[in-house]
Amino acid sequence: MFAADQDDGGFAAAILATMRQPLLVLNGDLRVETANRAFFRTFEIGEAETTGRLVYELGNGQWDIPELRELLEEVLPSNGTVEGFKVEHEFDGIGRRVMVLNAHRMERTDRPDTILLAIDDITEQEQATALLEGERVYVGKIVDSARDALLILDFDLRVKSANETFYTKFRVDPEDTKGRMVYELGNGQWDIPQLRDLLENVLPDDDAFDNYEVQHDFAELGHRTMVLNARRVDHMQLILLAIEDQTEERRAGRALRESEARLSALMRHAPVGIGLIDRDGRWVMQNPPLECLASGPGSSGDRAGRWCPGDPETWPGARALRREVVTPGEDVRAEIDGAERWLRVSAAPVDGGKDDVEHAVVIVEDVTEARQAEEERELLLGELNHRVRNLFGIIRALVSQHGDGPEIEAYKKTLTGRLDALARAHSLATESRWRSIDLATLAANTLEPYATGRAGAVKIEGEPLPLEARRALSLSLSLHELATNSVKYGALSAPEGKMRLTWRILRDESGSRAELAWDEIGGPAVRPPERRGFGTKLIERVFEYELQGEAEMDFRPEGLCVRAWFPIS
Amino acid sequence: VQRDVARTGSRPLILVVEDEVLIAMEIEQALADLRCSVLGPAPSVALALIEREKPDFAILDVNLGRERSAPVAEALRERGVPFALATGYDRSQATEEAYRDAPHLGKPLDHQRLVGALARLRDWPNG
Repeated sequence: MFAADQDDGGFAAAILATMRQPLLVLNGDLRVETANRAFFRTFEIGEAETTGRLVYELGNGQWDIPELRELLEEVLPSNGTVEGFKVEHEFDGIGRRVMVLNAHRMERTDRPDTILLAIDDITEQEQATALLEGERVYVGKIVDSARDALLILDFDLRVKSANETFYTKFRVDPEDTKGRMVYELGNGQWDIPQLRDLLENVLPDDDAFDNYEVQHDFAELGHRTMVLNARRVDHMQLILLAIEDQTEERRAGRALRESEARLSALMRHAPVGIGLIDRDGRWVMQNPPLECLASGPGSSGDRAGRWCPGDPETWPGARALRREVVTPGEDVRAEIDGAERWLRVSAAPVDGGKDDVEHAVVIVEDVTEARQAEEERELLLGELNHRVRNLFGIIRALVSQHGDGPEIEAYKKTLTGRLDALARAHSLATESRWRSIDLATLAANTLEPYATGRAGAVKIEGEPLPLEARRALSLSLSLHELATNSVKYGALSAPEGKMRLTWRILRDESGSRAELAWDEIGGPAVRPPERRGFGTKLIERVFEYELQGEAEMDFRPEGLCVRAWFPIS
Repeated sequence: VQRDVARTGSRPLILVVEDEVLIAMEIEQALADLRCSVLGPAPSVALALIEREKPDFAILDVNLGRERSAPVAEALRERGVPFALATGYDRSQATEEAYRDAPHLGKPLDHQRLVGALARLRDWPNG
């Protein structure tokens, strides 16, 4: 390249001047013929103290560097050209410098030899390299201490190093790892399509990727869920690949989610109120039924409210917080949507593995209907018991009445007739579940035995008139007495005789009352009885006593005529 | 209202409170057989309380359909009239204070017990 300046010194000087590399031109005596601007600038030496000086004297003898002497005096004379001769030297003014020297001796025929000495100041590059080395060590330490598995790859995707976590977690031998392509690791098990895509397509475009989830089935390790993070470190030509094994976390997370879903379904669909309270007795969780139950006064629907059914200190929730299991619970009265309800409240402590109970589970069940049914059952049972005893009393009373005649047969007949009437009325009462019996039904039922085979002899007429079972029972006995009387002495004792029972309801401002009329015709002439027998007494008493009304018996010669009334509600 | 009150001579006057007509009639009959006069019988508290005459003894049913006879028992206590209960209930079902210590004649009425209860009346100053 310097062949040109033999012909054109100006051109050579221009090249020298513009070169950014420091350059010295020495003569055969190693004196400086010329130096370029880059030299003066780099080594902070003036042109005046340079030209014509022995190279070793430059900068007050600072250039008297043993390696330079060796190069110029020993290597160059025999070789002619030396390249890449590295010299380190501490200069007074500019400090330590690392230089790479290239020297070329030009032998001339017309004048003494000339030596071209190019000085490459690589101090900064050297420093950068050292820094890089330091960084490498530093990164290596981070890699080693990281809890995630880390791989350091070069740009060819070969493993430069891996940390201990990687080796243990993925059961790979360090020997089989370093220098290998990442895909070859673990007998090719790491040849994961997703990983290939990330490393070969994503990473070259972006200098990083974050939180890529990769699923892979490893032969030995089984299914793994990994989260990958990578950084391209361009100045080090490295790729840092962090592999987080999320398998357990995912599995645990999935198990937790499943368990939560099951619990949530249970909570949501349970037909009872279920909730959780904290140690202050505040609701921290309520299922929908509980929210409905707990929307009473005092809670105003506030989830963090202190609503508790009953005394805040002694209600089952408070007791559960004191480690008590309160089952089957306590029934407390509460007002819900303006209606009084019975709530069965059970509670149990939640064992969180700590000394203190942090939470208690509370179950609230609306047992209003059940309690009502229970009360009704109790009432019914009591009532039934009462009725049975009453029935015995009535039967006893009937039995104790003397027959109309002295004969036992007559007595028996009267008694069984009365008992039968009682039994029939009782059946009606039972059929109606002891609610009410219509008078027409009752009358037909009572008088039916006397109407058989005598079409038209018995007539029953009246508007619907529901009677309380108990009153109906007594009334049926009266009707029975009237009927038997008729069969013995009245209209029904004659073939052409007829009887009629009619009634109507009268309403006025003081209330309603029923008026009954019993009329007999076509029987033998009637005479008033000489003494009032049991039957007559019973008829009168039933209306007066049981029905709070009155009955009047008119023994007309053409047939018995009874007029009776009683109030109805 | 027609009543069968027939107080004659030294016959004790017994108030009968019973809502069941047939049973009332039977008690009436039993008392008549035992030479007692009957006040009532009354089927309700109201009707029992309007009786003005002071009885020597009373026989009370506890359950009078829709009410209980306790107010009558109370009034009898105030007037110093002894009484017995003729009821299908056992003692645990007649717990009102007014009924305390009253003998139970049972239901159906136990005639022996009735006789026993009445026998004690002979000692009464006004008996």
